[in-house]
Amino acid sequence: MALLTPGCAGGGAKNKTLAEPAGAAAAVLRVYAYDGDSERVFLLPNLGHAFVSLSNTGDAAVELPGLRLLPGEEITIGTWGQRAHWGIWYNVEARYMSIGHYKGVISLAKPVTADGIAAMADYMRGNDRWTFGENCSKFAMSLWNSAAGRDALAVDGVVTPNKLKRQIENYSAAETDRAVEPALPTGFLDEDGNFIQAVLQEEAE
Amino acid sequence: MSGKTKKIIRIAVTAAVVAIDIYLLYALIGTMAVWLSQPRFILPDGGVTSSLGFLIIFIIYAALAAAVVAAQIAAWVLYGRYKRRG
Repeated sequence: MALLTPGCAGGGAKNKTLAEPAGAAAAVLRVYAYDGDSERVFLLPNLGHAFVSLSNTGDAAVELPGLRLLPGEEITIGTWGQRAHWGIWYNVEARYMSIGHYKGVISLAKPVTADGIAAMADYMRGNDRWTFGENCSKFAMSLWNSAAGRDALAVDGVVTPNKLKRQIENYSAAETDRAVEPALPTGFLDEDGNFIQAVLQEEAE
Repeated sequence: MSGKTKKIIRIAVTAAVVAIDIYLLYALIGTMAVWLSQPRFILPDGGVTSSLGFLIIFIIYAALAAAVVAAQIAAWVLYGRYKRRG
């Protein structure tokens, strides 16, 4: 595996570079962190959100729990405390971005192999939940780490979108305001593993 | 302590208490409004779901406000008793 020039982690300088994948890339994994600044109401907290997206850039379908991602398709994956389901949701963030949310979101992309995608699926199967400790940022960071190899991210203490953002900003490849087209449905898996589709109210009206 | 100093302290404490109360009221209304404005999703059974993040923050503020108001009432009662004793 060729390793590009490693950078210094400190100081917030954008000088870290990503390692090349260990095999043929099957998809592009991207981790996002949004600090809440653009939607913060004066004197009120907004902790932001963190999530990942997976874009199938290969020739074969990519299997995720309850979902098959065909070549050319992309989906966001994040955990939410929602009344209907406290855990993993597909494509909520893509729909949020389509209606103007998450301005200023920062992201980092990395090609991943089929083995990396299998590791992601394993992690998702064991972590379909949302709590204060096992929050969206912890899930996004861990899901990225399950497939990112040497580019694993690390945060001390409780993982928050802001801490994750600072880690991502250390990379020269970090992008701002990279959106995901909401082409695929939004939803979650029920206890039997069935995909339950949820339609954005604005789209239903 | 002179009467003037006591008066200044009383005004400062009252101002601080009022500021805290106004902020808590603002935070309660604000977090509820933000929660109600969150994008909503319609489920196959016709139910509606949305992120509960700001509702959780609202509940934390409500608990904080209840504790602060209880403490203020207790302080007011104790101060009244203290003044009656002279």
